[in-house]
Amino acid sequence: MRLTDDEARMLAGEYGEGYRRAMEILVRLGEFYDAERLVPISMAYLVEGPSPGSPGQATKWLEEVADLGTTFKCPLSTAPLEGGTFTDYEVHKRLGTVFAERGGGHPRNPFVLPVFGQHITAGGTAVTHYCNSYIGARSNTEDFLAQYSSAFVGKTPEYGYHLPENRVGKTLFDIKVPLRDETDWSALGYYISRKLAKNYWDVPVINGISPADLTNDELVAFSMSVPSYGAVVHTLLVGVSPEGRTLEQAFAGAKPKETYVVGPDELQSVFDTFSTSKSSPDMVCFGGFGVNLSISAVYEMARLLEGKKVCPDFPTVAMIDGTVRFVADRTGITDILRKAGVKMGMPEVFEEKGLDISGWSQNAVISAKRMGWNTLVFADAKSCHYIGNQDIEPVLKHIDECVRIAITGRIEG
Amino acid sequence: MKTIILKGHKGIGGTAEGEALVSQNALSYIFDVGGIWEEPMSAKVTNKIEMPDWYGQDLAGKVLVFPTGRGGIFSSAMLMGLAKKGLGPKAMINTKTHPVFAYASIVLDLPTVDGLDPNPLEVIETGDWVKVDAENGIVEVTKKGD
Repeated sequence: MRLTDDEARMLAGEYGEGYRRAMEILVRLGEFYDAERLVPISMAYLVEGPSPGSPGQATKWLEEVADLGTTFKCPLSTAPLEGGTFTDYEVHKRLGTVFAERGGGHPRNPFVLPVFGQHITAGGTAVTHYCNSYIGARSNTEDFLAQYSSAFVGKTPEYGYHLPENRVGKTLFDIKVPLRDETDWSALGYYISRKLAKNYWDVPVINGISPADLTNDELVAFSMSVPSYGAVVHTLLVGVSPEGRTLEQAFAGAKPKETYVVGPDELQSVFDTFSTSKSSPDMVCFGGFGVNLSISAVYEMARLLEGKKVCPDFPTVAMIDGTVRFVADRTGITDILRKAGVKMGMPEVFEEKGLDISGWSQNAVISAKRMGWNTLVFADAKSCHYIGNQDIEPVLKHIDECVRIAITGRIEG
Repeated sequence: MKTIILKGHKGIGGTAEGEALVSQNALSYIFDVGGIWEEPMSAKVTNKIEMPDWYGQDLAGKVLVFPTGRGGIFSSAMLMGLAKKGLGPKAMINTKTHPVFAYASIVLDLPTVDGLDPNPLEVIETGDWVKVDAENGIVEVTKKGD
């Protein structure tokens, strides 16, 4: 990799140990991926990384680096994991974080966003995908330490999706089924993710959907789920993605290496994968692993639950945070949900049971396992996927069905 | 004794050797290694559906040979958590390494190589003894039963 004089000096430690560490990580990564150089980044969107058994691991590393006088070199927005380490905002202030908002690692943060063509580092696959696919900014998905390193240096190695030739579509998905809500979009994401499981660099092109047939929240739901099974962090939605205004442009004139048709049966197969023969659930969860509700979903829930009560036999939980929670609190929506008996996040579920589990308990998935809960109903495919292999039976249902199940206590009406 | 040499570009980390575990499926440390949630923690694979050829296997101390990583950023955090407890692999050999795994390898100094010729997934079998020299991009395989 060719380094500028300044970069070489930073690597040699002339700007301090914190920057030297960061630069070393970036150079080793760049060389492994045959990057020719580092490119400046316009912003960083980061997720704090946990590790099993020692939550807050990332915070310790950040504290060390902050002690060395290191600060972020570009505008940064961070979305600490739900309930995880948000209390460590102090270290973020020392590091010069522009904005820290609880957002569960998804792109509902309205403040620090990239624009088309910008190189960025985006933490978490949902944000990476959204920024690549719908904004046309350029990012790879990398581990949280690497992203912090990019943010400290203000640069990132130019490989993968930073290079235009890698951003071209490779596989075609022809959509022949209407996608009626965020749950359908998350099911489509899971379907595509599963088909492309073994190839991080494959760029799916999705054809057959008009911009008039979707909402931004549905694109967010898709962004959360399409990287979930495999590793897709860049898609071209023909007519919507700025780099895929036409099918021709999406493939840069080449032929797709493979074509898949996604019709009603294919979409239904995702719902069949996440189904159960049990008659009642152990928990109904709106949102889940790295998935939080959109304001539309929250309004819909409130509309269906107003004046009603959820079944007392099991918890019904809603994951609402960031700006969506702000709006829900101030418009009385949160009150409506609470009156119906909905818990706002896993901590409230445990409080009610008089339990004190720290660290991972904020996560619906891990909590369920610890509590011995088996049949969980979700409104999104990503959460279903994340727990589907831990001897837990996730069930995928649309929001209106989730509400019906929460009220009646029966999975089949 | 039959030894096969595979060559590629410079990888991550130094040298390591150990028994190979080979899979044709993409690995995720968060989806597939349910041993992380056990007490005491282990590196056991619990995902029968998505990682069938490694179901029940313990990944600790092995040379893992698999096409690439899948899933999101949590794989690296989980891998690092396991490595801290001495439950990490000895080395990793991929057809193409996923960036999330590459970062874990850098931080852990875990010998990792990809882009080898011949294709390691066609040449290496579970149980073979494998020596990885990541600095020089060379892998030496001694077939089991030799």
